[in-house]
Amino acid sequence: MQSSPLEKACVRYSEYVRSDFEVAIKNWAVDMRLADVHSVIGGLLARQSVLGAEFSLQSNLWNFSVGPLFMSAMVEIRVNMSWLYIDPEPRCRKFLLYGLGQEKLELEYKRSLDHPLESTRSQESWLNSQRNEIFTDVNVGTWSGKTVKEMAIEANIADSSLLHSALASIVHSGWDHVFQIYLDRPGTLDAKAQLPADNGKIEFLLSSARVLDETFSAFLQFTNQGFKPTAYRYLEKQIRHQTKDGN
Amino acid sequence: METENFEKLMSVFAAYGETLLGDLERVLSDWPTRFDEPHVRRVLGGLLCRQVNFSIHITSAPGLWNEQMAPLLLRPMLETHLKVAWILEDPITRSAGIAKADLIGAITKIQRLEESTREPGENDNSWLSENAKKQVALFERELSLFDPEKKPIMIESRQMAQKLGGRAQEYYRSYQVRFSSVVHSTWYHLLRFNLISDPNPLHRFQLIPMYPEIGFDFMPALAAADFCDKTFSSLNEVKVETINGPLENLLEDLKQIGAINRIEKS
Repeated sequence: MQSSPLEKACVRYSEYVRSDFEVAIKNWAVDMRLADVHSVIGGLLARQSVLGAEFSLQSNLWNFSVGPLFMSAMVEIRVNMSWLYIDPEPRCRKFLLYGLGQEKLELEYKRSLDHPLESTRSQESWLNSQRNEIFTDVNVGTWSGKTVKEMAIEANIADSSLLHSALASIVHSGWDHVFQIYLDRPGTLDAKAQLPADNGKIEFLLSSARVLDETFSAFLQFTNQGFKPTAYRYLEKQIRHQTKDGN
Repeated sequence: METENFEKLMSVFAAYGETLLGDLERVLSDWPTRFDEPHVRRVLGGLLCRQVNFSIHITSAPGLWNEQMAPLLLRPMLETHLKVAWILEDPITRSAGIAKADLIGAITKIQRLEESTREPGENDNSWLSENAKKQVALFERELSLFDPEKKPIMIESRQMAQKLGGRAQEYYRSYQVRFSSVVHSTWYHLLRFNLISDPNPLHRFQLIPMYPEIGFDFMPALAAADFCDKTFSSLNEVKVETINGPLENLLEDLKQIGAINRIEKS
């Protein structure tokens, strides 16, 4: 099957994302006293790169029904990382401990559901290898104790919080989203439920690439690297050319 | 996976998608009279379409069949399932209550944005684009359709699962933490997929960030079909006529091509 120029550009873009990530991590001098900072921030950059690259390869996701689910996850990483940079050591530790608490919560759920002992035992060992279960607290709120909006404002990226807030009702299938997309005549009493056409919009691809690029720029600034990532510049140029050529 | 096996797998999921769409059409056209109160029909019908849409997206996109991506759609499927099951316990009050709360929340969000961005001396609404004004007007029109006597109901998925109890709570407890860790990219997820231990003891087995190989396993597609089936079944429990969800056909087809046997053996 022949790929379209856009599909080829997306494959190339995803390769650039991966190589940008590898260069950025390789150039980051490791300070052994700050192991948590390195793992948490580096892990988040890896996750953001995977999301950005994989989303670009799935054009059937670039629509209002599901595109925002990926966008929201990416914006949240962008905000979390920027908030971590302000005071990295204690905040990365907080992020890590919250995650371990989630591990403990899942274990408690499994125990309450009488899961096979084998599966809970292996998870117990996994958790205990990082921090003894009895010393691990479960927190069912947010990891930072703040909302995404509060973190974004503190990190001076309030625009990200606006975007995150706009996507929230889509992520949770709120009626303010569902009635607009899944009713044939929104705002009328005799409207009938229907599946949407889900036409692909390239704006979703560009937005996700922009969020990823912002994440990289902030990371490179935090780690004092002069390296310029290539992925976004490549994609933006390709799309501009292809739109001009009418492809 | 070999090309031939992959093509067989895709044709099985394509057949599933067609059956599912047929079932959805049937449910919507033979909507049970007892749920024919307009708000109930609109809200439950809309959520059912949302659930089917999620399932079609996952089952038709093999690029999503991995632990890195699929839970981003599976978690809203879990939430939608809980929402439908919770509404069905008191359809008239809850369909209106949850819809009103969402609409009021959306209008308030736009109004707060207006207040926070309004500069002294400027035209009060100068910032508000035509699009945002249209959006508010549409939300208000939609809100006016609901009975003013019905109170808005704000409720989280965790509370819904708790109130529903039984199997709904089991689903929540089985999947929520894992799915949420992918949605919010928590340490739980990073440690499993984005970090690898440095084998050098001189580096104190430090965790190194890595770009992982993206796996391929159709289990997330099967999970999506399963969630969709659960939602259809919860409607089934309160409907007079029976809906035969396409999950059974899907499982049978997967057995036919040997896909399920391979899993059982492994």
